[in-house]
Amino acid sequence: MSGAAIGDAARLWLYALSGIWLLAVLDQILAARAAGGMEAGTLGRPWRAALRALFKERRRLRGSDGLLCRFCPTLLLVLAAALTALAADPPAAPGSLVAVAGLYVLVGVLDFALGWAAGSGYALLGAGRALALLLAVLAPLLLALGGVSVANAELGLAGQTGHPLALTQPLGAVCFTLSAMILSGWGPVRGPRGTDLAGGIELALTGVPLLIWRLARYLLLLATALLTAGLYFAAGPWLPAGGLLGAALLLALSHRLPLLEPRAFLSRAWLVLLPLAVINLGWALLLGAGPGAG
Amino acid sequence: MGMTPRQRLFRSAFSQLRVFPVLGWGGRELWQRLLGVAGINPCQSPDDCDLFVLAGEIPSQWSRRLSTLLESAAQPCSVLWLRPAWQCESPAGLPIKHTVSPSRIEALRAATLADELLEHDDEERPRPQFERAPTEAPVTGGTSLVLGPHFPYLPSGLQLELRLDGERVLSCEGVHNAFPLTPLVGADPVKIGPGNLPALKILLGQKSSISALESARWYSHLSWMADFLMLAGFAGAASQLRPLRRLPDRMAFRRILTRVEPRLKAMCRGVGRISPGTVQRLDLRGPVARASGVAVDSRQEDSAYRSLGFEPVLESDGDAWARWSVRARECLQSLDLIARARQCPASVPEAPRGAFRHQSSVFVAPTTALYPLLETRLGGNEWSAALLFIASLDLCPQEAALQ
Repeated sequence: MSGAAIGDAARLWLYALSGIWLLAVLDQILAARAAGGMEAGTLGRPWRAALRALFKERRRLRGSDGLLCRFCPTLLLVLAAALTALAADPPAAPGSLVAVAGLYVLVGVLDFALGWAAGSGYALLGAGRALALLLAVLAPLLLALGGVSVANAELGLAGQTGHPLALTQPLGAVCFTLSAMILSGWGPVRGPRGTDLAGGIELALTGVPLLIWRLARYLLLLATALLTAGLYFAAGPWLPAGGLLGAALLLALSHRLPLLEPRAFLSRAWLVLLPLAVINLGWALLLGAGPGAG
Repeated sequence: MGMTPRQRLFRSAFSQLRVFPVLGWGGRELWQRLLGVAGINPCQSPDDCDLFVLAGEIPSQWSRRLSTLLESAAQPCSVLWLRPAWQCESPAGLPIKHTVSPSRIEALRAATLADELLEHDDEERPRPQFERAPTEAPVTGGTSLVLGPHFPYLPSGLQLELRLDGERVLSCEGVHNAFPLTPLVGADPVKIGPGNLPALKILLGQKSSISALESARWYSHLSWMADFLMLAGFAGAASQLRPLRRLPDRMAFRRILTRVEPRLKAMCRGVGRISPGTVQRLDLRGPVARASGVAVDSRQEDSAYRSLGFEPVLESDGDAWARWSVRARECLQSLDLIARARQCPASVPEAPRGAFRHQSSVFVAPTTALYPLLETRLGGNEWSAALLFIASLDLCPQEAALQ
């Protein structure tokens, strides 16, 4: 490995860790504001939460699948890191858009697997939600990415040049961002980690695995924002800053928007989000076939 | 002696404690007071809590179940007992590290409790035995799940056997009260909470005033509203509502409601609709009956209330939103009555959940009449709607256990 590659990797890690920390702090601030005001020490809470997880033992519920419970958090972190790497430093390799879609699908599958493995009724309900949400947002996500590939005339992430795609495909930008945000475990829906499930799929996790799982969630949000900024806003050299800003915006939206019940979200996903994604793809094909295309 | 670096880190890590409550007789009041202490954060699952709070008098029958829950909690985890105001046995067989009397709750400091954890952390302790039974077992036609008896923000002691198909509740196959049956005569009225106290006094032939009865209603309704908001995901509004129970402030109350009600209304509209016919058939009382448009309120029969121009608060839709609205409007009505009635005596035992009464010399609490609704009306609801329906009934298993 060359020195430049090592430097790039180190910069990426530094960026990802700073992003996670900034998002965790912002999350605490928004939660504290919603709870009636900031207390002293709110900014240090993410550190203390991480420390707490290090002191807490890793415990296994009876009836749970120990192997899955142990590996799901690590795998999620690997997936989140891969998505962030793809988004922050888009490779020229063809097919990287397909890789992005595949990684998001795997994130949804991991949510389901962890809920299934926990051996608890509430976690099982969370697993059901994870599967339902995956099925609901998968098609809009793929169609939105399809629109991007049509506009760029390739399946790579690095193909975009010129004007921001959000100007010609605003619907695609909305569909992609919302779908990816939901799969990342954020957004305006009572998801698999809902308060009404007493923790849901996270029930089986304590200590370090829970810490890893939550770090991965922040990283996924950052990756989603980076992808939106890169694919739809042609952020170019401003991509790192745009990613952080976008992630902060998405986090604020997650706190501000009313939470939809899973069934209500599913019906909206099928009746609104999916048709919008289809219209966006049709529009992208029309633009692609228009005069001057190709 | 100074602290080691590890101890300093430990103390910093646990300066915000995640706390799981188990509420016994009179426990709800103590728990809601503890939530006002800085550094105390409610936790939804016992598995990842730092502090297990036993609040009130814990029935001895719960010891085995609680031991099992404690064994499966990730260490370090300590046990705090919020002792009730009356004399009672400490919870048997549980490793209680800290006992706090009601007068000392507000003086608690999260850092002091974290030090208890630190001591606990230094101990050699056996690995958890994972004795907890799985909560679900596959059965034909759905998955069965036992909800409660310590599910956060639902009434402590209420245990439901549910059958689910995905998120949809197919049926409720059993309703159990984990509180043991207790004779009313000889029981300390404080046990069933300050909200019920004035009405119970009247039922037992003691004196009480309109002011006391309405203050108790304000207190009880606000406690319920705070729990309901927590369940619905409005933790911020809940924490702002809780202090108003002891320091009534009409403007602040209205402000909080104005902020949350549009979203809450959207969630609760049409959830758990109860028709006037069902109210009459099951002999329902209190806000649940009045939310269905049935004017069941014994205060109408009290001349002192009549002289104050009292009219029962009614809604017609009979859903969870109507039940919220009735209680919210009753809160404001109670403040009016308190201001005008002064020490005017009351003669009717209209408790916040409905009138207490004797039927064939047996005490019948309003909650008892609501239990059949759970078996007949939970089926067909989505999971979150089912939880909102249960919470909207404001059940009190403690009062239902009195005979």
